[in-house]
Amino acid sequence: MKFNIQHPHTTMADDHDFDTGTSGAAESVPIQCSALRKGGYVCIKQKACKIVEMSTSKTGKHGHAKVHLVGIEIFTGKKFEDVCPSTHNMMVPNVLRKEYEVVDIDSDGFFTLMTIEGETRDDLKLTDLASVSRVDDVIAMKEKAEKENNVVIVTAWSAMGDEIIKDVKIGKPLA
Amino acid sequence: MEAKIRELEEASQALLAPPNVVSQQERQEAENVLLNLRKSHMPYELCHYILENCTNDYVLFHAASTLKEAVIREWSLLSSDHIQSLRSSLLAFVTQRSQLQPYVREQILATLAVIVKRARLDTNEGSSGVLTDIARLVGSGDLSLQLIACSLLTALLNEYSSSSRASDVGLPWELHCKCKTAFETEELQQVLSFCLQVLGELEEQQKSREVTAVFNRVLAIIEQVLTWDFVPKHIPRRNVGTFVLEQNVSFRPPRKWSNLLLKEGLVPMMFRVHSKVRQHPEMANHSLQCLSQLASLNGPVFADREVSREYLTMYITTFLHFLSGGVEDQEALGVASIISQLFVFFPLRVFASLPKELITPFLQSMAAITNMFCLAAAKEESLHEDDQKHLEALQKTLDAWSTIANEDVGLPEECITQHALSIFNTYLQCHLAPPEGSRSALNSEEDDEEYEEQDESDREKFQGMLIAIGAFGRRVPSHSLPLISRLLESRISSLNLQLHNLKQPGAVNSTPTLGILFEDLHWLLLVAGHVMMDEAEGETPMIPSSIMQYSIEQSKGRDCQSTLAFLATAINDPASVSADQVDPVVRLTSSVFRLCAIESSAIEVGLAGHISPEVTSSCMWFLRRWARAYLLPDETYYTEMSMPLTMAFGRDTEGGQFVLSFLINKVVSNIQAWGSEAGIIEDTLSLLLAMVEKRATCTQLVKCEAVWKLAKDFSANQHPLDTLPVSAKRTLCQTLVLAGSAKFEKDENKNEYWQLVLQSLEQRLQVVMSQPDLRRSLHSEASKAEVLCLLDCLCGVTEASRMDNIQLLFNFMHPMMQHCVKLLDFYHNYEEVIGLILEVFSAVANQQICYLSPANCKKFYEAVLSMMQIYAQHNIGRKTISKDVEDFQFKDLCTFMEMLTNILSKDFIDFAAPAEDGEEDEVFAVDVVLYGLNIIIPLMSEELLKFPALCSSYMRLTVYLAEIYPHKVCELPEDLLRTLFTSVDLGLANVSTDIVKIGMEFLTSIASHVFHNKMIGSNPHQALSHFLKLVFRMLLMESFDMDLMDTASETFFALICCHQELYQKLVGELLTQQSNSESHQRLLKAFTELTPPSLQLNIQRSFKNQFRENFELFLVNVRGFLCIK
Repeated sequence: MKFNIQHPHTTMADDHDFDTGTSGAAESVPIQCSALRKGGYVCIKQKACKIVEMSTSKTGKHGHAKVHLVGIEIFTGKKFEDVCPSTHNMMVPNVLRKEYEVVDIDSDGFFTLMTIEGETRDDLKLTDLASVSRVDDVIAMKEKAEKENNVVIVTAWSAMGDEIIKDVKIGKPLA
Repeated sequence: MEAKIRELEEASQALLAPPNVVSQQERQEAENVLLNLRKSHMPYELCHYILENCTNDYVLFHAASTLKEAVIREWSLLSSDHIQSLRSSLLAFVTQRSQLQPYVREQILATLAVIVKRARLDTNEGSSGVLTDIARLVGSGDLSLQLIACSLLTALLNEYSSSSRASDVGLPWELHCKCKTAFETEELQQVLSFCLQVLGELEEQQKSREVTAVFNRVLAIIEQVLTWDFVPKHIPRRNVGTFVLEQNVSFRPPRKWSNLLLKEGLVPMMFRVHSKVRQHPEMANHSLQCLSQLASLNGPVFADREVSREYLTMYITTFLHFLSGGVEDQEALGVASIISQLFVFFPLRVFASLPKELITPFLQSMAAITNMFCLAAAKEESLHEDDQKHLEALQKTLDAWSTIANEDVGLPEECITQHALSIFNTYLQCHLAPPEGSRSALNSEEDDEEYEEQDESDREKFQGMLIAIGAFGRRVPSHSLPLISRLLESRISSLNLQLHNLKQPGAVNSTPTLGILFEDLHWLLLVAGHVMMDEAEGETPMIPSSIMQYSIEQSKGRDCQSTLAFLATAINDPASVSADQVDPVVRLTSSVFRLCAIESSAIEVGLAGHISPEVTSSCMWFLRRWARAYLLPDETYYTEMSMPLTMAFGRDTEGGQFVLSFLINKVVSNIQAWGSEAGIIEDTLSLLLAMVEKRATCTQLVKCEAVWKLAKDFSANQHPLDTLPVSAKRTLCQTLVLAGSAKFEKDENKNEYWQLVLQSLEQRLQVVMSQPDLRRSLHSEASKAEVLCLLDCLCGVTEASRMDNIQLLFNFMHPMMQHCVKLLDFYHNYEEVIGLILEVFSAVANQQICYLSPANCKKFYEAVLSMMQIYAQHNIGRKTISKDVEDFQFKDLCTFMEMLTNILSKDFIDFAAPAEDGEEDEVFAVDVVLYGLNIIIPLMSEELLKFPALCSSYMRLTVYLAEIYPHKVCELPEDLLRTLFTSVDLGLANVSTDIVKIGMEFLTSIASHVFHNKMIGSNPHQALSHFLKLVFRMLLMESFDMDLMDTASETFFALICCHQELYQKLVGELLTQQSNSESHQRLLKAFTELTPPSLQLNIQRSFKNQFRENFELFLVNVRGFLCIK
């Protein structure tokens, strides 16, 4: 397979002047390819991806290592691939996770959620990428949880300005 | 019957018709017609009629198959006359119908063979009848009859071989084995001698197509006899009950065969036959295989050494004669395997006792062949041929040579030395570029070839050959060492020049030249590494004696000063000193040092991109091997030491210090420069680990400033060490901790070192944990990265655990684990962090627990318990597993189970002193494990159990627990117990015999516990009733691996004891299902014999044993007609 390599990466590892963003925390930080880990996260084509495969190869017996990465984009489940010299830097997205109690879910899959601080929001929706992906199942879980004096807890992942519900489970109330 | 034939003919037409002609239903019906035929009761007359009257081949084939199956199934119902007539009619049928399709004929002959073999068991009568038939067919001179005879013989051999080739006749292994042994002693030799005779006769005849066909078949049969896997006198236990075909058996016939095999003419005849058929690929393959088997002749046929010497003399004489005619390409592998077989099966002493006029030309010939293979293999390599037969042939001949080169047994010394030298030269020549060598240049296309990480490296791929070449090099050190040194030096100088030119402004990159140099260097290093050191994995690495001896000889009349001066200056400026007066070992080593130095300085001036990582790796590999034997050697191991080696590399010498610090600096510079090259880092760390593991070097190492600097930079995660691959960080951490366990000059130095390595890790963790607004700050990428890095280091620290540092390391790890528990709480949504935390605990359970004192153990258990509580708190409601955390959950659970199994093993493997009196409230391993299981069991979904690794580690853990603490398992809460039993249910249905076995063992333990404690009506007791039904069906009616017989009998017995009424009911049901009164009677009798009144249904050793014996007979008796196959 031939990869069309267009690198947004900075070249050597020396310069660490990355964008710190406006929110105070960087959305992504550069890291040398060789130090990435399988199961970790990386930006491929500016998409926040989870690394599902990582291998090295070289061109010619006496050539230098290149890293092949296969990532699954967090927000779409799409597969992305990239290959780059192992000395190059790649951006690692900061994937934040936050838990909410489910107050309600409507038939379109929109949640009403409450944070540990008691604030509510209703802009997040159930998708196929969540551990429980059918609205009916969530409602059933909610009924079951209420009987046990528990609540349904969802975990939202956010990175690079996007956000998605990933995990749905029954647990103790957050507060 | 006419109508039946028509029906069958139509059915076969429908079955063989193309899919567009017949419907699915028609096809199904046709299949049923044929299936019914196959299953019909007493089908002999019908089949006989079909054979006589039908012309459809497919129907004939089915009739033959039906006969074969029926004979096997209904054997006990057939009278001996009936069988006799069946046999002769089948033989008559095939001989009369010469136009029969081969597949029909083979099937009929297979049926015949089964009858012959089966009859032997009842009557104890040999197969001489059939052999007479065969002889008659061959003697007829009719070629088609002769071919039939060959097919029949092959079928017979296949049946008797009892391997996977034999048909399933529903007989136990023992009876197969008995048959085979009888056949071996009575008829097999006859078969061989008969075939040889036929072969001799055919050899004389004119070569027509038919004669060639018969000749080929006879040759194949001879090959089958010569590769026969004879039943040994004492059968190894693991082979009992296996029907697999053993590969690569040597020819080890019983003593009786000696007359036939040791006859003058046999070996020459086979060589003659081979010469005649060598152009015919199939026949040449058979004949070469026969020759190679004859070369492996061993065992009782040789009454004494003299007899085997005579045979070997004859073999080699004939072989030499054959070789004088030249070896053809396609024979390479066969000839090589003859050579290797001879050296494997005849002791070197026997070779040494051969007359010099024979052994000298033989070795000469062998050397010529080896050199030829070597050149041909290089050619294959350069042409990228897929079939590397010469490479394989070279490997085989080199194996034979290594036996010769490594042992001193009185073979002509000068002769071997001479050949060693020539083969060594040829090998080097093939791997070096012109002008010295003949390696073909890489064209640009190959230069761009992609090398994947999983591709085998040269080091692994050619290891076997390099070992042999190394042994040759050591045989002629006065030749090999100076040669390698010279070749290395010239390439290193060229490299230096090339790199120097690249530094000039406007330099052009001449990659091809560099590529050639790198490839040469790479191979020189591999060869040098194998010459200088022999394989010493698992034993103390030593300087090989021939090299030591050579160095001592060379040192005579020279002073060591020039050697030391060379070592000191050659690294930087080789031109300034002459190599003539220098010790050859030091000279070679210095050249590798120089290569290291050149690389380092190239990196400093920004030429890293031009250096070959492959060469750097090979260099580190060489130095690791070298350092283990040569660096600061223990002089007491050697009877005599070479002065120059002592001065240059010895303990307490300036030279030794100099080399040690040179190496450690190189190690540090590699770690700094090559974080992006995982291969280099791995080999560099192996070198460092080798130095740390050797006490003498380790003590010196911790005096080196470079080590302290490395430890400091690493602990602070200083750039560029932060770019190291994750696995390298762990190994580096492990190595640095091990170095700290060395002897320090002063205690304060030791403390200072620990401060540097361990406490800085602790401080870093403190910094992370004491950030303001922890809940928020821990979520930053920087904190998370730091936590992951620290967790990797903790795993590395734990890997370094040893008896001598356990107290210190556990004291360090214990508070770390407590921090980990807090981190687990904070990061409960971050699967990558959770995984690593589990790994830390698992590493401690794996590496430290066996050394821990009861008090520390308790601390560890408490830490594990609190970790598991947090884990449970966040995971227990997580019934569904999201798609992309699945592999994480899977990995986590594996780690989890590994940890629990290791904790449980503390009960068996414990090196720590027992508890002092007065210590109480002990936490027991089993309670920790049970608590863990409480968490795991609900998570073990059917989906997850489909992963074989996970399923087996889970089952292993549970069976472990059930065996030792069955009461604890039985006391599990009801829903957990149910889930656990469901898992066992899944386990029993698993394809892996191992897992089924574990499942059975689990049931045995639980059933025994239930039975002995009379827990009738309890949950586990009720659950077992389901398993009795399941196991009953598995054992009686389903395909079932006989390897499991012992385990299954115990399980079955234990379950019967627990549920006697249910068992009676199941038996009753099975009996009523039998439509045929005869099988009803047989089954009833079998069941009565299985549990006779004398057998108490009580789980005790004696009854269990009695049941097992009954059960074995029962299965043989009953499965034969219950499982119709």
